[in-house]
Amino acid sequence: MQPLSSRTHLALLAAVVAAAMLPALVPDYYVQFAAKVLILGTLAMALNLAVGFGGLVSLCHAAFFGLAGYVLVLAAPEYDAPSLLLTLPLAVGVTVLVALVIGVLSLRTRGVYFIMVTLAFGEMLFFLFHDTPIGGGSDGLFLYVKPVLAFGETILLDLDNPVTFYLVALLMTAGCWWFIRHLLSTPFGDALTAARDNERRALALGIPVFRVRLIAFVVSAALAGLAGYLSAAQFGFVAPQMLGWHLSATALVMVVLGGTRRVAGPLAGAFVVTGLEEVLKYFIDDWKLVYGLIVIALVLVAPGGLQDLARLAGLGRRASTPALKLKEANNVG
Amino acid sequence: MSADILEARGLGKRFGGLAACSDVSLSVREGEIHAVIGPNGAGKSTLINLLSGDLRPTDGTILLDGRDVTASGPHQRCQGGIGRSYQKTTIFPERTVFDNARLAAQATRPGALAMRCDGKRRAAVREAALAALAEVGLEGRADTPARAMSHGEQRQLEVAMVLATAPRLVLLDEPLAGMGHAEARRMTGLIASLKAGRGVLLVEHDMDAVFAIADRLTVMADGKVIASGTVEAVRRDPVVRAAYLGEAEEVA
Repeated sequence: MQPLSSRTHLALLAAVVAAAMLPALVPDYYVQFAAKVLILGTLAMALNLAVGFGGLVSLCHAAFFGLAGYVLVLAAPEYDAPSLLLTLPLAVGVTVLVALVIGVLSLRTRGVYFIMVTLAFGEMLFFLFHDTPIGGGSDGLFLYVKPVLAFGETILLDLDNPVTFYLVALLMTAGCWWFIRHLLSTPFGDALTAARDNERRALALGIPVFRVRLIAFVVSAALAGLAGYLSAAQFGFVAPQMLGWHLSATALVMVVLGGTRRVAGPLAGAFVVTGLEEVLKYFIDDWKLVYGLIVIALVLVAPGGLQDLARLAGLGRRASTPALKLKEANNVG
Repeated sequence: MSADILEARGLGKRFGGLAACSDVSLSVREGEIHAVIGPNGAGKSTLINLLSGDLRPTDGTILLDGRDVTASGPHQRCQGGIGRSYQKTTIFPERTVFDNARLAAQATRPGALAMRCDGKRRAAVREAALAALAEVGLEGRADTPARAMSHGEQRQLEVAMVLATAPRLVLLDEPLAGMGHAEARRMTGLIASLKAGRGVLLVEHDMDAVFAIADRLTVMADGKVIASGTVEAVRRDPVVRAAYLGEAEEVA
C-alpha cells in the first residue's frame, strides 16, 4: 500500500471535522447511536487487520473486546470516577498479554483450523466470566461512574457526557483507521500481506512469517480492546455476551459486508449492520428473521467480501482472480 | 580454489519408511554451477528443500559459510544468504512485477519489519529491486501484473526475486521446466551468468542445458549420490550411464 499522502491526511481531517458536527445537528439519541457505530466499526476494522490483511480469520476478537471492558469495570473504584489514564492502558495491556498467549498457540494452525482454535479460546474466556464469580457471572457487572481524564482537580474529559464520549469515540476510530492504514504502508505491512498471499514465498524471501502474524494479531487485539473499553464505558455495563462468539461473528459480518480489502470498509459494514438492526427493531417484532434475510441478500448482491473470506480461510477456489480485484488491491485505503 | 559456500554432510530425510534422501554429501563453491541430475523420484527436490530449510533433515549437517544451519528455518537461511526458486513458480501473481521484486529486496535489508516509512530506505529498496529485474531482463515489465506474463517470464521474475534478496547461494529447482525452446535458451544464459560472485545449485532435467553450463555434476538415484565430479568425468562414468543415461550412446 502506498504511504499516506498529505491529500489523504486532509481528507481524513475533513471527515473527522464533519463528523464532529453531528452533535450540533441531531438529538442525543442519535449521537449515542453514532458512538456505538464508531465503537463497533473500530472493532471490525481491528478484526480486519487480522482477517483481510493478515489472512487470519479470527473468531475470538469479541473476547478481546469484552475482556478490555471487564478490566475497566473490575479496576474501577465503586463510587469514584476511574482514571482514563490508568484504566485504559491497563485494559489494553491485559488484552495484549492474553492475545499474545492465544496468538502463540493458535498461529501454529492454518485456515479452518485457525478459525476453530480461536473460537475455542474465545469461548474459554466467555465461560471464564460466565461461570465464575470474578465478573458477576452471567449477570455481568455495572460501571457506576464513567471514566474521566483529570489533571489534578480539573476534569479535562468526562465520558459521562454523551457529546464528549462521541468525540472521543470519533477520535479513536479516526486514529485506528490512520494507524492501520499507516501500518500497511510500512515494510511490516508488506511482510504481513506477502505472508497472506503466499506463505511459502514469504518465508523463502526471509520474512519471519510467524512473528509477523503474531505481532499483527496482537496489534489487532489491542485495537479491539480499545473499542471494548469504550463500549463498556458507554453502556456502563459488561456481560459475558460481550465476549461470546456471537459478537465475534457479527464483527465478521461487518467485515464481510464492508469488504476486506479496504481499511475503512468494515466501518461501513458496522454502519450497515447496526443501522439495519436499529431500523428493523423499531418496525418489526421478528426482526432477526428479516435481518438475516437482508444480510443474505446483501452478500448475494455484493459477494466480494464473502469470497475474500472464503479464500482467506482456505476454502473454495484459490485460482479465481478477477482483474477487478487486482485493481482494488492497488488502490486500497 | 575458492571456499565452499555451502556444504552438506551425510544429509538424510525419511518420510515414514521411505528414505527420500540418504547420506547425501555435496558442496557448492563461489563462482560455480553445481548441477544435480537424476531420474524422477531420485530425491533431487527433497535435497533442495533440505538445503533451503523447507524440510528439516532427519540426518546430517548443513554448513553455510562454515556455520551450522541445520536447525534453522527457511526465512533464517534466506537471511543467511540462501535464495531459492521452486519447481512450481512461486511468486505473488496479484502484484506487479516491480512489487514482487520490491518485497524480495525489502525483506532482507535492514528495517525489513519496520513500522515506519523511511524515504531513504524506500529508495534503496527500489534501486535493488530494479537492479534485480534488470539482471534477468525484465526491467521493461516493471508495471505489468505478474499473472499477466508468460510462464517463462514468471520464472524469470522468480529468479529476479531470489536475486533481490542478495543471496550468496542460489538454489534452482528445475528452472527450465515447461519452457519453450527460445525461453529455455534465454533462461540457460541467465543461469550461467548467476555464478559471478555467487554459488549456484541447479536441479534440472534438460541435459543439453546442464552439460552446457554446469561446472560440477552430482548424479542421484533412489535418494543416494551415485556419482559426483566434473561434467566430463561423470559423463564417462559407467555406473551413471547404466543408471541414468540409459542405453543412449551420446546424450549431449
